[in-house]
Amino acid sequence: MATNTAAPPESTAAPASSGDVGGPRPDGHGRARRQRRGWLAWLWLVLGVVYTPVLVVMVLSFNASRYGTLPFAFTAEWYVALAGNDALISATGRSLVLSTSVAAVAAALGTALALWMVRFARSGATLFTALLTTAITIPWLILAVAMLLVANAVGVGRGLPLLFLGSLAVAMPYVVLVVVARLQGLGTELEQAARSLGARPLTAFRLVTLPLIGKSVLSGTLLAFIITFNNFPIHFFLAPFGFNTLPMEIYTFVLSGYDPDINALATVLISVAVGLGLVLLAVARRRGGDATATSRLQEMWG
Amino acid sequence: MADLRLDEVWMSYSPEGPPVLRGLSIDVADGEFYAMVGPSGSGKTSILKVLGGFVAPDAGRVVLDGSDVSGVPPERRDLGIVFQSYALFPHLTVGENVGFGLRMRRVRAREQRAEVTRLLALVGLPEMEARYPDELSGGQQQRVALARALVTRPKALLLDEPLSALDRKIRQEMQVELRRIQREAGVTAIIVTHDQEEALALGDRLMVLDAGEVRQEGRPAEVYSHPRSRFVATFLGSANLLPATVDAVEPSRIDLGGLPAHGLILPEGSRTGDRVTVCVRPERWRLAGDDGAAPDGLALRATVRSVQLSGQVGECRLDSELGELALTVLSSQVARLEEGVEVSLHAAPDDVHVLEEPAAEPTEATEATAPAGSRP
Repeated sequence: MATNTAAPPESTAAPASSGDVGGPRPDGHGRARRQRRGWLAWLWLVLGVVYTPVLVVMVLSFNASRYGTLPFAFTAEWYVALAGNDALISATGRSLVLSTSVAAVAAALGTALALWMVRFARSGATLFTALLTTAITIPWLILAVAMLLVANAVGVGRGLPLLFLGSLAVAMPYVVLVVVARLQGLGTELEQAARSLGARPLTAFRLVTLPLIGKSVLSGTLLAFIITFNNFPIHFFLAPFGFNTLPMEIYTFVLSGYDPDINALATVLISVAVGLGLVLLAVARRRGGDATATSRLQEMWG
Repeated sequence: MADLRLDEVWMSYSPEGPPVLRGLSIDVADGEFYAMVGPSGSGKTSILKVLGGFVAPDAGRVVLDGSDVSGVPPERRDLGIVFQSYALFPHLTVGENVGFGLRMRRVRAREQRAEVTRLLALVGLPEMEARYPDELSGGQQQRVALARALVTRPKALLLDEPLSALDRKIRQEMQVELRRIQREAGVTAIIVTHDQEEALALGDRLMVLDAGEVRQEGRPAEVYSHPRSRFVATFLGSANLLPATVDAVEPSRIDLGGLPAHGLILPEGSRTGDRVTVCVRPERWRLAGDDGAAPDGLALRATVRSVQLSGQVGECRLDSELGELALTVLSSQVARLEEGVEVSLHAAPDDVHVLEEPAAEPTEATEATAPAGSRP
């Protein structure tokens, strides 16, 4: 099986490296070419470690065998089973609602906080940035246990408010840090220019600052969404009993025996994520004259 | 269009911090081009921030068009500002950038378009509306920034080092353009710069700023040829600074370490025995023999040590009994000044300035520091 799916990275590597076959070159380039090959191999190895299992899962979701054995026989029965698996579907719904609401609040509050830090807390900004950076390095498991301890001590206990608050506390620093970095790069002159031309503070923000930090806000929000969606330790310790998020549900399933409809669910989720990413890139590119969006695309596919 | 005044303005960025502006007063007349020049850290940009309304002064008044605007926010001051970085909105086209001020004033779209076209023609960038700022050269961005600042017919135009990011050649071209546009728009303009050449070339009036205080103010030619302090003498152009003592007041006689100078104008209130500094611009020396011996002024003999030709002028270093001297001559005269040649130098009384401050150290007698901007 492993050899089967290891093939795609290699086969896609071929056209990439064939790009530098441009006729004879002076000797000095030989070393550079060997180095280039070495780095490419390393890159594909890393990508392979991430994508091979994903591809295996996707292939298996269409395989008739319950235990992932060969030969491969196509079936859609696991998707049918998934459609009937209420536990997984409702867990997915809970996860989506939780992640969306946390991401939305993190986006609004995080952006506001970032603005305040850069514009008004000038000397404090460094300290706050350091504290937030430290906060995101704390292991989530430890954070979750500690939060539950404190919540129990003050008599709040597990529950939706605690789950929401805990998720927000983990996700918001990402929004803040991403937006702060962008705002610091932007400086204050653009906003001052808008003000001097007659824009009131809010108008200046809406017409000048927001469009320019929009992409950072969006990437911070997506980060917050993904982190909240994935945050098993926080869900596990802070969610009220009976409120199983998707990671918790999958964990339960795996404990009790692994059904291929989880493969089917994984395939659906990955497809949605990839599709969403492509749509976002396409939107970013279509806003003509947007050099950064196109160059980011080129970085990815160039 | 309006006059603009700062009255005894004090400003510091933090309550404990040192004041950046120390009781600064300026008075700019309607339609005037006023240049403020000073080294970095002298408070130039802070003055613009106070004028623009981005920073409130700790004390003093800002008067625009006859009324105190001290508490008025930037968007209601009606000033056009050209920022050092131009601050063009990168996500808007040139047309949208220039039209921004009109859009804020809810001018009708048709009029907006007409005005934008008119302004872009004024700054010499017709038919650029649809471009984005990052598709323009530095000089073009500068012109767009200027058009954007002028489109609302502001009461005054503030320019913050507007040419510092441009190449020397384009900079000189833009200096001429800036003057033309300012004249045509008939707008009061204030420019801050660290570049003495720019200030001398652009301003109707010039103010030399140092450490948040006005050091000297006047017409550029006057300030340049009659500096009243060591700082102004060396910051605007270069100068020979020589230590001296006042020997007699009426008629004046000054002793430069044994060498007398007659007929100079002394600072007010000078008394016999005062230690002073004598300042001579390097290009104001005349090679004696040109018009025979002159009774007044400063005359001495010196030996050429080195000659450096830089285009139209030659810059010479000479050794004299007063120490090292700087002499600038037109390149046509350089041939006479070979190394080791002894020459007689003379400076007319009007070209020798007696500054109140004593020279800091005798060894520092000669100073000929040309600011970086003055070299090609």
